[in-house]
Amino acid sequence: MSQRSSWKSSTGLTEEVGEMPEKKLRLAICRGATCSGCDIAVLDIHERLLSVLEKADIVFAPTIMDAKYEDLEAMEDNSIDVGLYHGSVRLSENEHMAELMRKKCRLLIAFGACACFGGIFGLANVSDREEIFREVYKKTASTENPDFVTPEEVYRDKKGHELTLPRFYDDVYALDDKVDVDYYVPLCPPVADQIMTALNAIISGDLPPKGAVIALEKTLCSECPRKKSERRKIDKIHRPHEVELDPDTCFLDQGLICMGPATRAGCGGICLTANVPCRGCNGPTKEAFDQGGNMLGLISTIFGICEEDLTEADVEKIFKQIKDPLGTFYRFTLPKSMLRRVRKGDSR
Amino acid sequence: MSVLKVFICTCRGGITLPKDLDFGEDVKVRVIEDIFFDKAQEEIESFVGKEKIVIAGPSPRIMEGFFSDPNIAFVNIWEQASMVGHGPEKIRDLIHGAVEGLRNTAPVEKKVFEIKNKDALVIGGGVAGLEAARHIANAGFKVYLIEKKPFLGGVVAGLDRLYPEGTPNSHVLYPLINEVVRNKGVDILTNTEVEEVDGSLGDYRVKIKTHGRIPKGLMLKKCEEVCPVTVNDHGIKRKAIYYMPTYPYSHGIDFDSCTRCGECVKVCEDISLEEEEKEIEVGAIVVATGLKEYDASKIIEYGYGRYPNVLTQWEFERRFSNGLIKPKSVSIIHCAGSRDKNHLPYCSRVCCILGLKEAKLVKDTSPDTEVYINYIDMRSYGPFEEFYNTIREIYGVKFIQGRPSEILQDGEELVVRAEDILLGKQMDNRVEYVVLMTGFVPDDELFHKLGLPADGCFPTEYVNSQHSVDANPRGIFIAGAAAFPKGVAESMIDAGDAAQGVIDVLDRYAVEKKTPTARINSSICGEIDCRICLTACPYGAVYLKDEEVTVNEELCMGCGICTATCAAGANQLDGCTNNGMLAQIAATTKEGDVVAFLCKWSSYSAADKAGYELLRYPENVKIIRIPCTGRVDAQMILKAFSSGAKGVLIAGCPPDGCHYFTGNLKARKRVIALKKLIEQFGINPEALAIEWIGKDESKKFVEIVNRLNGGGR
Repeated sequence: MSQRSSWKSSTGLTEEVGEMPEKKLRLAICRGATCSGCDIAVLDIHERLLSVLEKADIVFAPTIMDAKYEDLEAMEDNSIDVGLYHGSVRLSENEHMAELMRKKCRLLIAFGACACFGGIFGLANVSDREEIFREVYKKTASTENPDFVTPEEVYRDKKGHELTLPRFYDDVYALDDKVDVDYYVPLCPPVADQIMTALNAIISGDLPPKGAVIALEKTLCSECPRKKSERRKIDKIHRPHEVELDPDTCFLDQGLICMGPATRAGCGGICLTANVPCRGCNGPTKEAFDQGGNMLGLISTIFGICEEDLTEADVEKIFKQIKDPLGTFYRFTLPKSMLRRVRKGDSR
Repeated sequence: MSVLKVFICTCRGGITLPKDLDFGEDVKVRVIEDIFFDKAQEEIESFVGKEKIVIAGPSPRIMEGFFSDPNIAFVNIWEQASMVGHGPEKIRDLIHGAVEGLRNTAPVEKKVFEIKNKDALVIGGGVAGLEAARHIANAGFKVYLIEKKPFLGGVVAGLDRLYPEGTPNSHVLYPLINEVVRNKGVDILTNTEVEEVDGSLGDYRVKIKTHGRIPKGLMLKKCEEVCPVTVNDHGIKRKAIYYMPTYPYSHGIDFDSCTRCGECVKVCEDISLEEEEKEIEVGAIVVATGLKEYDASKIIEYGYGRYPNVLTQWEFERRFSNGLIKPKSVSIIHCAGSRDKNHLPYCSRVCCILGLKEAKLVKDTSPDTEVYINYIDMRSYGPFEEFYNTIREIYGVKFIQGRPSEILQDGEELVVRAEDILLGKQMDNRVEYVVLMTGFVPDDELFHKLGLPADGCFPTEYVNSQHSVDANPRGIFIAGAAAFPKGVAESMIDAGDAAQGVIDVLDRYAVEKKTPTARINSSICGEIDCRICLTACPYGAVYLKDEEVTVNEELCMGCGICTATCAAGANQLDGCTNNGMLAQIAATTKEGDVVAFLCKWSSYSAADKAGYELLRYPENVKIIRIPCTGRVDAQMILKAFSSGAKGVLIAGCPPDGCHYFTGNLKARKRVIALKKLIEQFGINPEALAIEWIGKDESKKFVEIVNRLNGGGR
């Protein structure tokens, strides 16, 4: 990311660049552990999809057209120009597909917050396989499973037939935890303009250096039209349903946790204009390495800023107002945080 | 600066070094026997400023006495390793950490402020401004002395006497004015205001505006007679054009009240009412804008503005001295609005003695007048205690201890209602006049233009850091009562001090920045941004320049509190960046370590002291030196845990003793919030601790790291 490299050097495509327009791009869209919102996001570019299809063929996209994994396996290595992988890596199946995509695609794009940072699925890192299985296959009220039958990777019946299921990992991973990634298109899900920016860059061949995030460098606050107070302070944290929100005043000034200062710009501030505080799905800026911790640090700095002489007990009481800090501050980035996951079997 | 040089001092064989001293291909290691040898220091010095250098040896407390370059990282392998019995493996980890930290830190350029302009600007023509101008001009530098009022002399010129003896103000003021006027190096501009200030230390461009002009030496009594504007100037009526026996030696026009009707010009054609703007270039600025009285009408229960005989101290002194009033009885109310949450929370320091001065003035002139003083407690520090005793015992002034609850008008008389707490009874004291000794507020219109931090308060923090040796060189000095209420003598001493600062700067071709400062990465932090770091900075050094978050390098003290606050990594402290710190933490920490972030001002010294005392603590305690606990951000703490630390300590100065005022308290808030977070992450919150460890508290340090080592997750 540090050095600006051209399309040529970053992809290994050399002389073909000029011929790109004549040769149609080959595009693949692959799903990992996903809600499929990212698939819908691609379709959300609406009529612009037609102009994309003039320049590119979609050769593999299980959600929107019939395809089998074998089809992808059968393709030649590096025969796909661009692969969009959306969703996180939760199962061995996801990892297998990620590796396959890496092999078949010259450019692999982590598409959406899950592929970039683990996303909402990444919050499952508060738990592990055993705990999740116990919850899902035993403890839930609607489950009747006295033998505690859980998915197994290999099942053999008496006649020797073998059935396999993907392995359910303890952890949820972002795409680049498993394979090399060329570009990142975060957000949950990516917005149409951002997708077009990425696609146009690829089609035109005017590509940013490898590792670039297709979003803005600045923080979301730079896109936010809300009025901010001169001296920032928060006396009380509110949850959105508790207060009537002023649409023109900074959320932090109204005592709402807004992830804006810890989040990249590039989404167009769509939540903000809908009077909803930012939840951080565009991930941290390039110089920040723990979106959640940073935001918590920022909030704690302005919390009761005028009353530095609060006692320790006072301060503790204040922070009790933040319900579930982990879930609030790492909503989309837990697998990419410093601690990556909740430690199991420790002191608790 | 791609090559890294590591110098390791064995302290004459006192330190056993690790066998493996390979820190990478680009790192050149040189072992020296004794870093206190001149030769060894000369060798290191030859690389300073050219390469990134790691010096492993005695504490940086000592090493910084020999080397001061932001691109040097110090590793303490003596006090914090060898002397406490820790072995070569730890020494290797510490050096490795410093190497990786430095490798990942962008080189810090040595910033130099060139002193392009050798002239000085003194803003404010009161005693402090005059005294500062006198000193600077005497040292041979040209001084622009500007005063927004028509006459020099400031507050003192409007009063009659000085405390404690009641010496007429003229004793101080007239010779001072004359000496300044006589000095050809001082360009005096009255009726002149600062419009705009641009530039920085050594190179300020200041737009000033002069309102009108009267040729020197003109006594214009006739103009005064025709002037239709009458002004109440602190209790005394005068015209908008008037005379004051200070400087200039002519009439002057008060342009705050002048309507520019032109009647005076009809009498004397030489008067100009035109505004004149000009730009001056100076290298340093003295701000001597003085103080003003707190608005007494805000203290509603005292009736100022409603009852004509309730006066402020200046009104009373001026009217009394000029013989306009001859009171039979006076009640002087101390602390009117002072030390009061609803008005001024602070003590203005000088008003107790000013009140005594007023009492003496009355008694000296009119011994039969009854004088009462209502006070909370008398703050007559130093020699003033004697003065207080004299007023009480010899002058027969009656003292009532208790703040009046209200002042009422009853016919011709004023009723001062208060509880005398010494007698324990309610008193209705009937007097003819009441004098309100209100506290003082700064005359701070200019502060904003100059980028001086002040929220309607005196810029105490600026002044404190101005006197700090580690502060960066600056071109703006505050003198006299603009910094905090001061008596005349104190103001003049203070002015001399500010003048010395100015001379020190102007005397050089260039001054070097001392402390690395924070820097804003404008590609991340845009024109409109969260601005949280503005609130976090204790010095007002982070400010909005044309709506863009900017760091004032003269004000920045390098604490890193703002850097730790920035959630976007846009704000980085030079030499102590996120990348560098995180790399250092990762390289230093081994599984099961206790990482201790120690503030360089206190806790780090406590750990050094543990070395001098040959105390013992576990070898897995790894110390990382930081400018202030306020610099430690969530990322650093989480990185330590993710690198295998079983305990993390953040230790700094005692609560009110932070070198950067509130860095430690902000750190505490952060740590308490993080404890809740790491608990969710399955880490025992007790594994993270913030403690105050003063520089002598080595035993406390050992106790705490032992606790963290034993407890943990």
